[in-house]
Amino acid sequence: MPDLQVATRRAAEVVVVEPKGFINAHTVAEFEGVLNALVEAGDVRIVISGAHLSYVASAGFGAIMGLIEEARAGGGDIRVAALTGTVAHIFEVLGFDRLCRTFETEEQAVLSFGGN
Amino acid sequence: MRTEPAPLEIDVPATCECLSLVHEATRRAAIAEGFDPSAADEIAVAVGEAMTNVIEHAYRGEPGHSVRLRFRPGPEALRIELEHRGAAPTSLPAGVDLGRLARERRRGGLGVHLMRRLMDHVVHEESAGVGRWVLERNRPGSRPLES
Repeated sequence: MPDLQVATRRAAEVVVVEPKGFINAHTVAEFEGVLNALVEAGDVRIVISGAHLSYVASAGFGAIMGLIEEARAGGGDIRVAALTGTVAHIFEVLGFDRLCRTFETEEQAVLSFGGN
Repeated sequence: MRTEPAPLEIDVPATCECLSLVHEATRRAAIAEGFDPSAADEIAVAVGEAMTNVIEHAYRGEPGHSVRLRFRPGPEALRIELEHRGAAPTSLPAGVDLGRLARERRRGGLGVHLMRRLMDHVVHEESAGVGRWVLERNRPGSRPLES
């Protein structure tokens, strides 16, 4: 099984990105490539579902940090949902909860784009 | 007379492909030392950040280098060292401004900050051409990690 698989699906005007596995400096290119392609294509309403992530190193958070203002400039945002365990804790200790809106469930995150 | 246990040492190629191996070895060592799985995960992520720093900055991504990973369990803390022969960091950031980094579209600059948030003590030492990241996490029941 690969270290990281990244699936995407559409929910209304929003693209849900679902990485499975772990994100570190070795696997981040796969994750970042998906995010880059979405933003470049104008798909700037993005929800990252963290339900199937075992851990995320700073490289993974850096990928979000490097693109979030690009998404916002295009009228969208990158929002995060369903973080658990160590991933949720690291998100918080890094202070990402102040940079990026988070939701308990993917559905809540998708619906949040209804009112921006 | 009480003697310290011999440290466990592993030499690992300084490549990103080895990051998952380092993560798993660290996680298992931390659990064997009595840390709960959640704390062990955090320690493993911090050590992965130090390893990434060595690969990307000390060795600048050049192949053919290695890192010596050393676990030193102590009575108060688990100490983990990553020894390398690459360039030492010129300075360690005191903190990060995520908003500024995001506005500048930066994708890096979080590793040292994350190490410091997850561990109780983080320094980089250098002597006689050998660089060493030293990370310590207090044992459960010792001084709590600041949140």
